[in-house]
Amino acid sequence: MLKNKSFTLITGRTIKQGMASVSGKKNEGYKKETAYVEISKEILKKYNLEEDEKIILESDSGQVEVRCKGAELSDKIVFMPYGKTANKLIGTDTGGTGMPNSKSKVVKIKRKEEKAN
Amino acid sequence: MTNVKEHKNITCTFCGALCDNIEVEVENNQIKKLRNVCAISRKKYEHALEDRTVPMINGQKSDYQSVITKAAEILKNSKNPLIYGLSSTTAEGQKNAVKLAELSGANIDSTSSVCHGPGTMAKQLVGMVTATLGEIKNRSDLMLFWGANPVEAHPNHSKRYSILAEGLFKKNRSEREIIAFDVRKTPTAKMADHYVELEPGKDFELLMALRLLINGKELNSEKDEIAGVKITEIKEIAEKLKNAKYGSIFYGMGLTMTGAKYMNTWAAMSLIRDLNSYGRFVMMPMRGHGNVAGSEITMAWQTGYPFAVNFSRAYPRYNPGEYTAVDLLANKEVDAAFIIASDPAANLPHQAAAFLKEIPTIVLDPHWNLTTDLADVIIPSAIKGITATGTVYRMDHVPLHLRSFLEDQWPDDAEAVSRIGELIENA
Ligand code: SF4
Repeated sequence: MLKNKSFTLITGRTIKQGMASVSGKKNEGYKKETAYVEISKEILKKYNLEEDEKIILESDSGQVEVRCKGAELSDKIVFMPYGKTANKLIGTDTGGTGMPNSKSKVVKIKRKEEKAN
Repeated sequence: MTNVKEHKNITCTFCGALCDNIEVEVENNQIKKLRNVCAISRKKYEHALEDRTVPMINGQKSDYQSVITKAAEILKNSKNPLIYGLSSTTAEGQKNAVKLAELSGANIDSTSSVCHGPGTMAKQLVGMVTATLGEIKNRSDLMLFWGANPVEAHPNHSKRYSILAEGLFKKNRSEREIIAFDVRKTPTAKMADHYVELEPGKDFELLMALRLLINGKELNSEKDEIAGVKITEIKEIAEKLKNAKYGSIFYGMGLTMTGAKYMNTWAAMSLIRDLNSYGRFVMMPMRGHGNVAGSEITMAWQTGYPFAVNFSRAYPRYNPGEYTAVDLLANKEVDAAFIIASDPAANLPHQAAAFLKEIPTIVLDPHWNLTTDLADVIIPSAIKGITATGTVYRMDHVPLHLRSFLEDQWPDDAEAVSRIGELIENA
């Protein structure tokens, strides 16, 4: 069951996110380049998720609705370009270092219809 | 008659690589041609004069002197303000911000606390053997990229300083061996000779396993692997590290943002110390923002500490986890914020950034961003390296002087911060 599976959320830079961030933070381009999640292609197939399907990503700090993209990734992680959307999931615990868990947050994937039910 | 002017050796201030070979052709205060730019800096220059901020107070247009006066008033009336950002401004702006923090009894923190700050904490524990990018380019025969993806974050880095660079003694790609350690096969990992995929959050284990081997100890593991990497592969890597004449590790947030945070970088820095018994080995953080290295240098030179400094007792106190922006905002401990050249609404955890809506927030920035949406006071400024001069520090701590080549109507960050400080000092 997809809802029982956990992933480590890795946030990070992408070239398009970088290009969009200097082309106007309030433009649609920046929003688009920071509001998707990359998931292993095998996971997409196994759980019957479509490329570009909107899904819900949920952590103990929040949830976001994002499009999913198949990628060459291990089935333990999902990747999001860093930005406002990913930061809804990260939480504020810094473990006394000042650094939030920007590459170590546990997330779950929900189908959109699961949210409605 | 057209008035075309060519400017050579312009420094791009977007990322810590600070490429200083940009060529710009300017006509009528507009950029007409760009050379030596990367995909990101091309967009940055093309967009430089668009989306510019204007003086605003509570959503209403204002004038420059009024926003400076209002900012001084907010900081003066605040009991525990936060001054945050700093990594995209000049050393001159940073220095004035430290003075302002002292005058207003503020906390002062840079974006370093959410990027390489943990690495800096490790440096304080164990020290870091490092070098200039020039030395690495000229001499390094083994380059490791650990949790770093410069192909996407510092696009010109590989051809100017590392993988593809033409060095004095190491002339090209074939004279260097590249190993990438990561949890996903990034475009940088695809350029490497060896890609080592480790389990997320297990960098510390792999680094310590390498240290054991380097120090002549045996590895034991029931599963015959550590951090998802086979023991035989770890042994092969250890041999390569020992045999390098001049090794280098470029590390990224894959080390500083994962589970063990500063202990990951502590382990990497300790490994480098061990490796210096064999050949020369150096380490370099892949600094993200253009002058984030400068923010730590300037803060350390001014206060003794690199980030997370509190001036509430009039002398500087340092405590990451307490005086760092995420903690101060999430714990709702500050009662005003002055954001300098940064966009915490986009880059900090949502619950921390959202608190900016509840307190008076001042933003000093040349461009609209997501934080200007939450700000009570907006102060426009000139653009570093385009319409403003100043000093910035590259990721290897080499200082570079910025030249401006376009005209601007707004003063630079350093002047804005200094004017606010003067109003507080003379009140
Ligand atoms: S690599 Fe970094 S500093 Fe160099 S041109 Fe690109 S964005 Fe600017």
